[in-house]
Amino acid sequence: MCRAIYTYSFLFLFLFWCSCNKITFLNTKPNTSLHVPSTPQDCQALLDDDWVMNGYGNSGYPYLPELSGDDLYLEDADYNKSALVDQETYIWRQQIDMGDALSDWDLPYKAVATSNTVLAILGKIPSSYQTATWNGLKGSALFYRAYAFFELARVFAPVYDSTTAGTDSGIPLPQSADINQKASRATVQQTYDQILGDLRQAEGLLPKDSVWLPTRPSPAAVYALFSRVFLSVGNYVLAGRYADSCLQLKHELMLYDTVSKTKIFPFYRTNPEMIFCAAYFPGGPAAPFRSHTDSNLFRSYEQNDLRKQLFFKYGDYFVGSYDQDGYRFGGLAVDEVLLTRSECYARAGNTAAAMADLNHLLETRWAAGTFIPYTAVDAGDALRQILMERRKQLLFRGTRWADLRRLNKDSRTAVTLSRTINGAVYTLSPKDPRWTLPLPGYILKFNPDMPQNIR
Amino acid sequence: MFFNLREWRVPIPKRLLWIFCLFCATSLYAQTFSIPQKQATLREIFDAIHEQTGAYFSLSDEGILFKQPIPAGFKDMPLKVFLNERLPAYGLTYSFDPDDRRIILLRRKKGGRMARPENPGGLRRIEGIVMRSKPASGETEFLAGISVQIKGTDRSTMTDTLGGFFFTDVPADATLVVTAINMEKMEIAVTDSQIIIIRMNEKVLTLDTTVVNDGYKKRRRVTTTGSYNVVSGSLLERSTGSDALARTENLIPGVLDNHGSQAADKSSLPEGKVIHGRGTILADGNPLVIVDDFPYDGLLSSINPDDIESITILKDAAATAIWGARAGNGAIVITTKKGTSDRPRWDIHTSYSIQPRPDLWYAGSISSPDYIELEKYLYGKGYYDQNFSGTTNYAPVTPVIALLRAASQGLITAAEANARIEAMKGVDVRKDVKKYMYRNSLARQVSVQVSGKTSKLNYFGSAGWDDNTGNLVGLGYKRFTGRAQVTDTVSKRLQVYGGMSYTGSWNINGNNPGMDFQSGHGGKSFYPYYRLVDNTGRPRPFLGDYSPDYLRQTASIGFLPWTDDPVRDIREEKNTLSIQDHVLDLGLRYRLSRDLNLDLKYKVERQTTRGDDFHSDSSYLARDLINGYTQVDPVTGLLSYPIPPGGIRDLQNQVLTSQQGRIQFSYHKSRGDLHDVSILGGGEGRSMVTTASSSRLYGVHGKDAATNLDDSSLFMPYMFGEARQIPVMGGHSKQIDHFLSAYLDGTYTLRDRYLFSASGRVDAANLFGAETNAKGTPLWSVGGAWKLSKEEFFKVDWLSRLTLRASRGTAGNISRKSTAFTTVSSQANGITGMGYPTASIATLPNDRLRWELVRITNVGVDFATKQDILSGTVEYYQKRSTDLMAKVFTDPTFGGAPNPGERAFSYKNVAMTQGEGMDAELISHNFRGRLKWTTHFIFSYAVSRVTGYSLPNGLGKDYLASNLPNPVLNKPLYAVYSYKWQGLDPQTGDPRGISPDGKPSTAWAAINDSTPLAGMVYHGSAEPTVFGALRNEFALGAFSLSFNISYKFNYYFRKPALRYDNLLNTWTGPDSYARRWQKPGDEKVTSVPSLYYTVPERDRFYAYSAVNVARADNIRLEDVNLSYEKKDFTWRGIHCQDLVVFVYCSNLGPLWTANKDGINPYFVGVARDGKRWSIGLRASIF
Repeated sequence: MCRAIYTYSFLFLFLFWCSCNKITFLNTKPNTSLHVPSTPQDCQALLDDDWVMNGYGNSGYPYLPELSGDDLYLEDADYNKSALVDQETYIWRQQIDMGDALSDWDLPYKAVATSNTVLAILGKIPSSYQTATWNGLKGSALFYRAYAFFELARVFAPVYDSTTAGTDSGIPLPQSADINQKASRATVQQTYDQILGDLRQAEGLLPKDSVWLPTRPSPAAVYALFSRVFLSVGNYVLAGRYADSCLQLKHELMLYDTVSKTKIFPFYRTNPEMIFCAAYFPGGPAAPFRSHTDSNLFRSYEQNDLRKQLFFKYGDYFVGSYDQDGYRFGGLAVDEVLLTRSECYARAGNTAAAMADLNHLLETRWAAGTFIPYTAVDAGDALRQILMERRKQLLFRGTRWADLRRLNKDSRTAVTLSRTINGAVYTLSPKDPRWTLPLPGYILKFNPDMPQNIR
Repeated sequence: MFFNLREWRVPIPKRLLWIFCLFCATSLYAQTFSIPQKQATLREIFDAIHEQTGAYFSLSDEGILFKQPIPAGFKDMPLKVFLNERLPAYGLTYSFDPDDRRIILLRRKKGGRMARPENPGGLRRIEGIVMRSKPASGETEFLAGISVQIKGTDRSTMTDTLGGFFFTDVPADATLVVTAINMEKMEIAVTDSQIIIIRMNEKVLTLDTTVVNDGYKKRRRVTTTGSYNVVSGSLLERSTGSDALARTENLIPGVLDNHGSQAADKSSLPEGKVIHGRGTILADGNPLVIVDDFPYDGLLSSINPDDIESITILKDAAATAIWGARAGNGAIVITTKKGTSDRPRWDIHTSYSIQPRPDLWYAGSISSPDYIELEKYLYGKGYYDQNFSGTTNYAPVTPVIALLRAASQGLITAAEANARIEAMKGVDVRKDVKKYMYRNSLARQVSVQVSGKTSKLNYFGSAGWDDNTGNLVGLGYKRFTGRAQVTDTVSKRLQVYGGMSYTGSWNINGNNPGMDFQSGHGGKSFYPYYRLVDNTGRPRPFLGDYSPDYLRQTASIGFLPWTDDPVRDIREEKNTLSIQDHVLDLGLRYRLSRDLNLDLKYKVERQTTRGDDFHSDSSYLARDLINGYTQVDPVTGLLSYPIPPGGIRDLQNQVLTSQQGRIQFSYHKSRGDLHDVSILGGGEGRSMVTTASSSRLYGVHGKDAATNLDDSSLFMPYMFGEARQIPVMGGHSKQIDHFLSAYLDGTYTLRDRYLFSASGRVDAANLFGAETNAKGTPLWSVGGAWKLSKEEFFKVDWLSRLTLRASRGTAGNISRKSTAFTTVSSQANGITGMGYPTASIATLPNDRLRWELVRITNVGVDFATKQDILSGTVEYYQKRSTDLMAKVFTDPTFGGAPNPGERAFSYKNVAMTQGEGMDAELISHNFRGRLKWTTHFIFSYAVSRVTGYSLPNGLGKDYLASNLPNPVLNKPLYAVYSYKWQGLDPQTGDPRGISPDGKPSTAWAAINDSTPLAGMVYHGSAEPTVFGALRNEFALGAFSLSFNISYKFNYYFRKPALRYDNLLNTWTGPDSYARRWQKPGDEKVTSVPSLYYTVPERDRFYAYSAVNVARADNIRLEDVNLSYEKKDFTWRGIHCQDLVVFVYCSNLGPLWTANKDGINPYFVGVARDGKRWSIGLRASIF
């Protein structure tokens, strides 16, 4: 009997021990090559995944706006062998068959999901560990999310109009990576509030003095993106102000004279003008050597303008991406910010400052000693010249479509696009609703209540 | 040898102090012996008796009598006289078993006297001993734990470890009832003999006598309500082969063995066993395998089949529910051997098997003349011009094309080219391949076992060695297995056991793909007129990756030789896979009370797998890689080697450590025939950690390897090709599985005719989502059985046994397709190479993840006719699986999109399948006289279909791979679909499908890409739905013969089809080329399309059209076993209880196939394995 008591008490203790350990035992992560992220290091690794966060995987940020815009044109043969979605986008068809997966939508939202995952992990880290590193990670995640939302908004949401922004349908703004939730479209106002709100938070969190890497967000990148967003919504005051803030941090320009002209792709990712590198999907006709540069644009470069040699190879094929290895650069660089500031000066009537910025840029683009500074009779003349140079400097950056969308709101700068393919002529006039791309059909199937863009 | 002293001696405080046994034939009994010495110990006397009469015996005690000399001096003393007259003088007596004419020798307590019935009508004390003759060896075994009851009373007892029992105050006219598992029930009238010898007979093998082991408890099959099948060790011994589970094929109803990896297009079904139909879509469909009470984590090939006592198959819910979330596919319980014989017993098994080279001609590939004529024709058409222009200038071409090219360039004359081409027509590459790449395979197996038991100790030890050489030159497999088990009865209450096993196996192969050879980059196979060696026997190169021009050019500037000589390369690689498996078992059983036992069990296993693939510096793989990256300085012409010259070594290392523990209470209470309650319950924990790593070393010379490789830069190969990085193979992974479970299982039997059972189990695992673990939903079963034949009203004379069974319950299945957590996969660096580790999301979290749920309903009938002439069981089951893991497309707005053009998805518990089937097993003892003839017939019918799956059916083209799950509502999971076939175009010989408006169409691309699933032909299941086997066993005297015939019906396969694009790109193809359409009218006799070589869609349509689908039904003669058995003889002083010599032949091929093309559905478009012949020997010696 005595022995039985010992046995039972031993068993009781054993079971008690088992139940105490049960929770830890069952919460052990099953697979560590498929690691379960939980630490700041994990967050950093997730944010450093340039494959997703900077668009360097075999998909990238939206390329359909590039196909819709007027930087490029396709020959009939190239058009005919293109995918249906590329063809329909190129001729601005009312309905575009985006199949059952579209990298323009899926990839930015993948970056959003990663950012949200990181934000969720950071949220679980006790506040006593919320140090500068933690701040930097949170700021980075917010920046990446803002970048992705903005990339989506300038394709799938109508251009910002302060009178209708409260009712226009924007894009879905998921705040967590839970696959069981339903998506709905925010308004355009909410969309931009989200983007700017994320950026404002990031501005306060990103450390000013950390080592700069082109793939990682930095304060300069936050200002550059601010200026890009404000420019797109037509807030030229703030666009100029943030451009100026950015340029105070980062303002070095390349002397194109010193850039090697023998390489096929002359620039590289860590060039001095780089602020934040991101690539758009070099899909279909957006791939190098698949589409020609718009003939008028190509002809507009003058003899001593080095961009003519550096930007184009084998005729009018564009090779002047600020990235390398054939990646199409769509990120943030000093030249764009300088042109934005210049434009904002011009729009504010400050002709001299505007032309100074423009000439400062162009001087570095021309062969040494050949550049004669441009002059403008008034602010309007300056703006016209700046917009022309903006086109010539920022072609194939994925920004032209957004520029066209905002410029079309002003009849003085509005443009009607026209294409001829297989003998048929297609036009897109400034007031056309087709300046906003439709949402992918498969997204509406997942979310039947979601409104489609009217085209 | 014959006179073994027990090392572990335990006094047994019982009526019979010591029991010695002497076994001898009657002839011995009459024999005489002489001992000239005046004095001898009893031991010396027994020694002498053995030497002179052949009788032998073993003793369990070295008592004082054996040490003290006693008077001897016998001359021609008859054994009988010695036993009758002399033994009593030494305080010994004996008893005589008239049935078996054997003698039992007993030693009395000092001064004790055998109680004689002084009053024949009164009460007295009786003693007895229960034994049996083992069927295989004839060896006598004392039976412990046998229930002996005085008939008509509730007085009963159990025999002790040496088979002894006693009763006091027994009436003289009493009758004893003796019952035991596996034994025929006996009723013995008490006689006045000194000791009652009860010799039990093994029951004739019927379902009634089988013992099943579900991994928690052993019980008689008739005391369960579940569906079990048992394969005994002796049945496993019927066949040969290193793999134990493979030997159970065609022996168990309801279990389907799929044969994988045989078809040329690898389109065969996943290999493994399917029990009662497939109940899952994406999770592992293999049953849970349990070895000695715990799930086995190592490779099953680590278990030596000779060590196996029995294999129990658990099929329905009543049998499997106790295994819970892991037993949804049924379970296979392997029980290893224990010591059984009273004396140390040695078993030796050895076999030698040979299998000739496979039949390379069976697959039917295009002949040399046909291929050469085709090449000449196409060369004339300009087909090969592309190979001689631009950057493809260095693409390889066959010798015929090279000769034609040389002739048209004027390098040789047309006549010379023609003569050399004509000469090649006589070459058949298969002759060379057969001679230089294949050989007859040999498999040698030997194992030795020693086992025994004493009252205290039960021990078993074994060692086995397998040495196999494969059909492919360079392929070898060696395995050593060692196992030791000891059970020690420490006291009446406590029993402890320990077991250890070690298995080491070594798989070695060179680089020898045989007929499956494909060149490294071009994917070229041997063209029909390729010769592997030249006239002097030296290996000839196969130029499948680069043209001779290119090789000449690279050689001239100093590249390494760049030719691939398949015959030489066999020896230039040595790929070794060694697996070391260690298992330690510990356990104890403590009797808390008469009815309640406590078991504690613990098992730890560690399996180390080490792969070492060494490619020497002369191997093609190494030379090709080094050359492929060699850089030529454009100015100096100097070569540099990003990959250092030398050998290349790929290493992989995997370590699996699993620990399992269990605590279990079992309660058993029996009140005679009225009630019988058996309950067991407990908890178990299990942890399995698998770590794996792999790496590649370049520049290996001896033990040194290059370290500083530039694997980040892009290197441009010399002349042509795309820039690439040096492949640095390496990885590391770790997987941790944790389980906690609790279970309860009970059986209640009323009046030995009504059985009720219930069980339940709760599982929690770190694989499941938190929500699932929190819920703790039990998996359960209930069952019942009614032994109808025991009822008073059951008056069917010819039917001796009839039992109805039914059970219902649930079991689970675990899929690793999804996790409950967000997981990321890590890389060392990003694409942009900024030097920081990166991680990307691999799976999004699924908190609701749970096991797949399988609901099983089972009803069955067990029956036996009088004397078990015909016995059997018939079962019907339904299996409904829900919560099956399936791919679900998700909204990419929340992430999860893989690559461009691919839809975001995750795996969730969403799908359902439903299956049903029938099993039958019949055993018929046709003759039981001098000629014994037994027939075993098994029949299985199993179908399952998808009943719930949310993905759209999509296009027909997505369902063409019949080896992958094709979930379609109301169709089997593995199904064969094809394009509708409208015959060949009578004008052009084009294959014709059907257009959307129902007309014959040759718009192949449109048909291939846009035919909806509804527009496809659905043939049927790719798995047989009716299958089974018929096994006949004959025995006449010492000879026995058995053969097994299997059948598989109602399933479909795709025949190998001629594809012109493959024929031209891979340099070989099927011989149906000779039967292609050539002129109008041919379409009436052939379905092979005309030669038309630029449209892969045309080939694809034809290959997947209905004309190339055939029924796979077949009947096969599986194997034949002829054996000779000799029992109980002495050879050179070695007593052999049993000796079996056998010849066994397997893989005998089909007796009948449904398809009329002569295709054996086990070998589709590949070489056919030859018949396997084995001879073997099994001996049991003492």
